[in-house]
Amino acid sequence: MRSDATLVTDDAGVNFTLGPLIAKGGQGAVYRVEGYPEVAIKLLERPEDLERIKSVRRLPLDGLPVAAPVTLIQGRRSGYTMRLASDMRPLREPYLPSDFGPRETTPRWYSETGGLRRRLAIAANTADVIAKLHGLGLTYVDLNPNNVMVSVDLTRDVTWLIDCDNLTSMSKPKWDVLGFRGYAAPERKRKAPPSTLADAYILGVHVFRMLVLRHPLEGAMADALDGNEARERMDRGDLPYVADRDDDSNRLARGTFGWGIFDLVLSKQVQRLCRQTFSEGRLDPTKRPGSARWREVLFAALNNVIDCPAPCGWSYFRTVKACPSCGTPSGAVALLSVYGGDFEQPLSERDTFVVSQSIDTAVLPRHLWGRFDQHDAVVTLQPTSRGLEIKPQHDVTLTDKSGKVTQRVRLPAPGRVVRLKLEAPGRPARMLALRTMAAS
Amino acid sequence: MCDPPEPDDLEWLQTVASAGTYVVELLQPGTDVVLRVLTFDGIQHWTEPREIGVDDLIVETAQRTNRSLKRSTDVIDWLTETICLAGPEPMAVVVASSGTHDDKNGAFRLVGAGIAMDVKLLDERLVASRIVRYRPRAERRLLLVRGEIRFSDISRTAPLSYMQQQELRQLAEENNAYLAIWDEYNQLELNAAAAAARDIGWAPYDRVSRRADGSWEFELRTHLRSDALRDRIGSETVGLEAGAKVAFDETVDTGRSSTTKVIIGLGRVTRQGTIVITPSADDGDVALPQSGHVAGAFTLDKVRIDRRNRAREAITDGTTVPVRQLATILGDKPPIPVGRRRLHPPMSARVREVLGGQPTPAQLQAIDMAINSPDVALIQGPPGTGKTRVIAAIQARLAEINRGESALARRVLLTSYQHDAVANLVQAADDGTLPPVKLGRQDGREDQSHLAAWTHDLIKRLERRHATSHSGDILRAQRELADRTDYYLNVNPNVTETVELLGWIERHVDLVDAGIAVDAGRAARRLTYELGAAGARVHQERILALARRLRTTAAGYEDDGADTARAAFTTQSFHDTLDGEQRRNLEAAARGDLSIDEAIKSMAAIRDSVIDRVLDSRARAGFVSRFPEVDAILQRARNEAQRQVDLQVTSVDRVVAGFRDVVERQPAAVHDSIMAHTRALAATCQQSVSGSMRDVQSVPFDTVIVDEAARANPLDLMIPLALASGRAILVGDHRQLPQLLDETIAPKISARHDSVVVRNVLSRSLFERLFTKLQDAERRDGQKRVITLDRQYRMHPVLGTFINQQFYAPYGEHVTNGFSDEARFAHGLTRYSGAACGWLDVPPESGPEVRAGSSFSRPAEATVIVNELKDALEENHDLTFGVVTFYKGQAAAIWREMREAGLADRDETLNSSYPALWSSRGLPRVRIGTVDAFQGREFDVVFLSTTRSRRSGSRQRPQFGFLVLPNRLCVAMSRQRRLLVAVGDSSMYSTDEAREALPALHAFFELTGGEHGLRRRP
Repeated sequence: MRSDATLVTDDAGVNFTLGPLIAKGGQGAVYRVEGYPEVAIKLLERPEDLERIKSVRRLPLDGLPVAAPVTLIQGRRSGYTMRLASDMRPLREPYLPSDFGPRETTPRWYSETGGLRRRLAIAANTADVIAKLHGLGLTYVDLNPNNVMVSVDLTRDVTWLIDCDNLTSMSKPKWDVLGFRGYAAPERKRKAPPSTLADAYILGVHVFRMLVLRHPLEGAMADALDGNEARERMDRGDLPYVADRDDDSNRLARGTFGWGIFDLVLSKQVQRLCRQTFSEGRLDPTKRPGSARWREVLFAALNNVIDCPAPCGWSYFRTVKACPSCGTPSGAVALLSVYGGDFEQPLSERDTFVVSQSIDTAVLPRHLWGRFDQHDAVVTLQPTSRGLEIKPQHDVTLTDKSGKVTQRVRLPAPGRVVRLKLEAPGRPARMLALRTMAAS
Repeated sequence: MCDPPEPDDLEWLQTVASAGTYVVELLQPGTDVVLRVLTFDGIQHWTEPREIGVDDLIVETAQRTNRSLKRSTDVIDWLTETICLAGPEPMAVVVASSGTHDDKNGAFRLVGAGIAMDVKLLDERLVASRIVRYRPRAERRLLLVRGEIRFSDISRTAPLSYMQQQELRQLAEENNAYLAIWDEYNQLELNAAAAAARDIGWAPYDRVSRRADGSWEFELRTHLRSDALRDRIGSETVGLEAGAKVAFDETVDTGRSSTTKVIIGLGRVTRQGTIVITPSADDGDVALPQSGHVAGAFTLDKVRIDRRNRAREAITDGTTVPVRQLATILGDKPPIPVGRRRLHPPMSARVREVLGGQPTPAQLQAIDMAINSPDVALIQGPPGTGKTRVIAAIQARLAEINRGESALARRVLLTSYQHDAVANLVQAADDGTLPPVKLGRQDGREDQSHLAAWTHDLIKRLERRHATSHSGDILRAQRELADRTDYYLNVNPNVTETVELLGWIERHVDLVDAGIAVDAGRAARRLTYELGAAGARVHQERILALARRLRTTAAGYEDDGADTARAAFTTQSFHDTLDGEQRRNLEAAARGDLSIDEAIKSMAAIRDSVIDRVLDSRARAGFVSRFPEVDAILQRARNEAQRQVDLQVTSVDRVVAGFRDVVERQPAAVHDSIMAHTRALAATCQQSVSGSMRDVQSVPFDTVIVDEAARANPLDLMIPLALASGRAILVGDHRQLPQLLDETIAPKISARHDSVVVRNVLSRSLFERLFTKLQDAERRDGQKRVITLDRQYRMHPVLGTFINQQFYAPYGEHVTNGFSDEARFAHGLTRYSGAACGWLDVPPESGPEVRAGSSFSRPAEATVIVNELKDALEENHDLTFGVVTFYKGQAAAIWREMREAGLADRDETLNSSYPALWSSRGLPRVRIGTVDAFQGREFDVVFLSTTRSRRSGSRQRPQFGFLVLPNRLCVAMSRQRRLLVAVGDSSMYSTDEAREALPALHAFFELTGGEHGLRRRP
């Protein structure tokens, strides 16, 4: 029987043998556990922190992609066990250059780590978890790339938050954690309590850094400063936003990678959210959009990403007429829009997304009804040589204008529209409009 | 040029050089020059090159001096290098004849580097007769020979010269009627199998799936052939196979698929029109192609016949010494000279032990002949002469002789014509050291039963060692504790298993001491209690929701604090999770009896405590796992158990226990290790060349021993013979049953050739033929290759003498009685008083013989036999009984009668609940069947049902049918130790016609009228 340093025992009396270290932060270190692929253990630096963990454990986090404490470890070592799938690793490793050692920032590296599509997907998923926590009246406080776990497999984008030590309820906020360097809200540096809007600011920083590979305040002015001072001033919000409309003193330097991809990776709506967050809302939290808004906009952006028709590996927004990497013109793109109302009186568009002509496209509750808590496809669109095969959930029907149940549709010619009515029990009916956007 | 040599050497060199007669050879050029200097006293000129033969004995001697010489060709090279002097002209050195050697008889001694070789003239050729170490001495006078000396390989393993190969080929192609007819038989067998497969036909499939029962289902493509195949099969079950190709028709286009995977078994058509094949062998996880062909089964026949053909080729090519000799002798040519070789004494303490006593002279001679055989030996073993023991002794003696060499190089193949016979052989040849390993599949299963039994016996022997001792108990308990703990530590057991383990420890107070046992019991009860409290998931959700709803702020509590408290209080499962104080507080809150300050404090406490408890128990149930408390108890229990073992058990017992552990728990390791080290492998003739055999034995066998060799089809027999590099030993008896024949093929051959010749060839075994031919060869080269074991220990001397007179003496083979003491064979059955032989007469009027299909039966005899048998079984509980007949129909009739009498079940098995049928060790005391199933078996008493009966009133000549074959009679009449009773129509066998047609049965009838006989009409 082993009694070495890698053996820990939790309050439930279960023995665990620590495996490899996954992440290490100021408050402790996270390890894998031998023999339990779905479990990880965080050992705390300060045993006092255990009190906070106890209350975090009591929070109603069931069903969220959050590695919350399951059992406590007390005694010789302090810490807790959490559920965490084994095929995930921290986001910091593949995504962020410079912060953690030199890293190439080239188009090739960008696309080999998943490209725009995967970055947007992870960003949207992160926004989704944060928004759900906010919905429960909790703030996460310490969002940074050490705490975001993503699938090892580049074709998947499952996203979990670990390190829930600092989760705190807004009714009785805990103060002491200010946030990770480069991932802090300016008001927290001025001793303001944690808040959902501070979380939203950090979420914005996180999204911006993932997509543009820079801090949103890290422009020409920051580059001119000494590294430490620059970072300190960024965290304090003392520098203007790199894309501020009124103050161009901190612009991204021409010719840098960030400058080059800025418009390619930030959709117009994302750019607007960034301005609201980092220009108007930088020092005034009330001007910032909330995490739910970020979630909505990021998913909308993700909906409109297409892959380069040539096998160069790039993904980009459908509004771009040719692949920014290899120059291959974008082909025709099929789009599905979701409306309220009926055939006679279509209401305003709720969502529009690209329908792939090579893989299945899932029409999700979030597309139809804005439900982010349900993940099963309501309808699956399967591309065939002649159009799309429509596979609805068993109690869902799609009908055409004549009321006939529709099982397949042809892709309409550019300028024409195929309209279908989707009905699901207990849900508002939706109109679906399929269009083809011509190749440029 | 280089340093001068040592002063002594220098002085000697100067003397030699001044004398003028010396030869110098530069052995090691370079900075340190080594010179070989031989002085000589004269010179001889040999005008003709002289060729010196090197035989097995010289090869062996050379190999002993120089281990790196693996083959005979290596030895030749080495001798050439050592003895011949390298120089511009060929030279060598011989010892000047001292008068004892005279040149006329051609003897001389060659001198080389460190060795000398004696050469003499033998049969007009020069042969090396020995090699010895040689040191030059001054007084030896040497002669320098100018002339070429060549060494030639005349050892048995020498590569064949072109001439020799041609000779062998010619031999094979010459009109050898015997083998030619067998070749034809073989071809016809193949044709018949192909025709049968073609009759079924083939069809393409394009989908295959594995069904739950292990069978395969094939969807046939829409095709004319598919319909034809379904029609042909109809509602029958036929032999089918499936794979990429059609085995019986190579012209079928199989596309690009190159897989040779195939499954073979019985197939049928389903109602859906698919074909289902149940594989006859466990096919593992064979990957069949998704499209291919279903066809009539043919692959197995093809494999069988291909194996025979390859063996035939090996014999034609003379690949090994034994087959070369065999081909020569069968071709009536003078045997290839065997040369000299090292001979080993046949007797050893081990041989005596295996034989269970001193061997008879013939047994000893048989062992001698076999272990020293240069090529082929044949041992005839009449009934009861100890044939299998001799095989075991040969095997044991060979293992002894070759002890120092690798198992692979000196391995023995034990083989026979059938799986049963091989299994018997394996059992007999197991001399108690490492068991022989049988390879090959029977009915699709690897037969490891002997090996398993051997391992089992070994464990039992080890167990017996400490079965009843206290030491044994404590070791067993310790081992069980170790097993259980290892399991616990490795498997992350669930809670039930953990509780069970703790319970076990609690019960073993003697092993672990009372303190540990008590702790284990306590831990078990605690775990049971805590996990009982965990409850179901739905309850947990409900409790959590209620707990979270409790108000813990003043404002919230004022709002609906009492209501939420009441909801929690009135829910039983919630209530159950609380302790006494919490219950009181919650109740008070529910009634509104608490002040707000008190309330929010106690509600917060209740909420946290309830949530924590639920989460803990959920986690416990979720992580199936180990508990440190349990770990600690296990560690203590193990330590204590070890202490007890150290205190109470001797070190010898401990080592034995460790060995036992390995044998019992690592069967694969034991199997592999035995495989690698066993001196004998066993397989049927056909499976001697199977893939698994080739995996284990990559080189030819040193010795091949074929048991029951007379019963093997000659073509099958050649398969193992072609595997012998050293010697092939055939054991059998051509006076007993011959090979099995496909009855449909013989007529086809007869139609083309002289039917008498054909019958003669097909009814005679290769063994019998070799028996004669090898005796001929012995007359030519004096090498003994055949022996008959001539002393029988099985039968009562009267019966032994009878068998000898009837079946062996007429052919000049004599079998005498090993035991002359008749009392030894007493059976004590009152109905047969002191007789050794008897005839129970069942006259024609008792009942006629009747046809039973193509066979015969006579129910009247069956009734008599079963009555006699039943009484005898009851009277004596030790004797064993055989009931033999020549007819399948009669065997069935006897089984029917057995069933009537309550002695057998419906499926021709003995009634397991009839005690008299079973020995005290649980073995059956009775065996019933036709004579074919009786060879190699023995019983105390045998009833022989003669079955055929003269039809009463008929004037026809009696029909004896099958009985006429003396081989079958010989087997049928030689199975008993004490008493042979014929049951049948005596009027049929006492006539003069019977004396002509069936002398043996006639003579037996006569014998029953004599001093040791008994005749009775039941």
